[in-house]
Amino acid sequence: MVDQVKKTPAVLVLLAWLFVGLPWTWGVTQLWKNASKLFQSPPAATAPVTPAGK
Amino acid sequence: MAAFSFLDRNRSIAGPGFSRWLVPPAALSIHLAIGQAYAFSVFKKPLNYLVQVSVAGGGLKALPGVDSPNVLDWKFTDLGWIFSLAIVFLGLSAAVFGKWLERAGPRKAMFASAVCFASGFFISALGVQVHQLWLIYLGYGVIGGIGLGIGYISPVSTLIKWFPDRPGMATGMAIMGFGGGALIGAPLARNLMDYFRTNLDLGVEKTFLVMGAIYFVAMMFGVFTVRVPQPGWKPEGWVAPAKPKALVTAHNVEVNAAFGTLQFWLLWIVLCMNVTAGIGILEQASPMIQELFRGRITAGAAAGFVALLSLFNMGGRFIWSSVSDYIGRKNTYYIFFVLGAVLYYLAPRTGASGLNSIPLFVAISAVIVSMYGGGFATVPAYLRDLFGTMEVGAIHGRLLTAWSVAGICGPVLVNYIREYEKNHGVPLADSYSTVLYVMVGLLIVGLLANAAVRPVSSEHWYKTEDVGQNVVAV
Repeated sequence: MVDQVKKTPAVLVLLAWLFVGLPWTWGVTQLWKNASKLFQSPPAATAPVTPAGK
Repeated sequence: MAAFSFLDRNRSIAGPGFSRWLVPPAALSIHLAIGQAYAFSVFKKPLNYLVQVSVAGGGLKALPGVDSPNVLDWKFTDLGWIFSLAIVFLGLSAAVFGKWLERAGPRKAMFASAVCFASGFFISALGVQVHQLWLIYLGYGVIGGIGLGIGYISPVSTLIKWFPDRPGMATGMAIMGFGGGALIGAPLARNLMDYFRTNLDLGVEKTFLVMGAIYFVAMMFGVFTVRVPQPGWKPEGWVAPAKPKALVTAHNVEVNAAFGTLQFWLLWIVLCMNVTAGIGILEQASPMIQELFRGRITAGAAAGFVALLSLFNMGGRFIWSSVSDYIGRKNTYYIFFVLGAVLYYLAPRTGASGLNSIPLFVAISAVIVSMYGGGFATVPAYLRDLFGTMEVGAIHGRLLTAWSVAGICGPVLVNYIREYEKNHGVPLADSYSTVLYVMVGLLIVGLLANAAVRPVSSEHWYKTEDVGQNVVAV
């Protein structure tokens, strides 16, 4: 008699990763929106003034 | 109780064919939930205005007149104790319950963590309802904090046993989840408070209730999914190296014996120094970038910088701990301390009075913070190398007291040095140099402690390694 080894279906593993991965991705997206403010140019009022003619 | 017998360790032993890749998501479901603690600050302002808003109406955002709390409102400094209590009880419970966890198994520990963490939210909701701060201290701070501690260490030894070939990567994944928990917790809390807000209520109480329920359900996924491997299990095709690396033991050390070894305390110093130095930059990130580049960085951009550091803190946990599987734990910490010291030394020189390079300052800070996260994530595998797998979760729990100490020392050190410099007329931008140079000193102490780590002597080894018993070395 051959032993029946019940292998975990790959789709179950995928679903488990989606369960944690989806909210995480949402969180990272939200954070990235905040982080991207660092790369936006500063408002005119705070930008360094370049003297004219230089 | 029979109803809870499914939580027993022997009921969670994996059958043949079980995929070990189900265990990291189980661990992540716990760590992503309890990592919410880092986002608790989103509740501070609403908690600070509860009475004022209920009297004046209109909600915090909608009412321009609501610019200061009512005299009956809780003070900001008093609210700060909620998070501090949670972190103190995280460290204490990890140290106290570690040994129980090894005996009870990860499923029971994860369940206990979920019950404590969710109860913390529910009791805090009651505290908001009756406006009693001590209930929030008890709920989120004490009971929730115990949930944090048990949850933090619950999957560590199980992951190490499932991934003997890549223990750094496996534990790094879970501990990365703790870093990532705030990424979900902060926007979730903000969205829920927006949803529940009315003219006379900021929605904090209902948000606590809903978050407690959501996190309990999410953590139950971990409880039902986690499995421990059968005694003697190995990954298919994997053979333990015939000649293991110098520091990697094939023996086990019991938690109380480990506590009495020099190696434990050297690693305690290593973790404490790495965390204290990391906090030095995390704590001051926003004001530091604004003062080093005065006029060029807005408050919004500084907030973006802090957010970017959070991403590197999280990513560093996975990347550095995975790298440690290849180059060894000791070498990984050498990098943290040597590269860290160089970068801390260079950081203030990138300011407006030096190289005047924002990209360089951001890059240096990002690498430093990645190594701070990496230090947390690599230490469980370092412990496993030195003390074996038998009680590594419990030993890790005790080592986390270094985090509690660093969590107090880091900010105190930074704030006192800056205050001293300010009182002696040092310009704000320059006062960071001294802080960062002190951090270089701490990193050198960590470097020396790491260099002194040697294999654990045979006198500390666990003598009767009867595999298959309660305290089992799988």
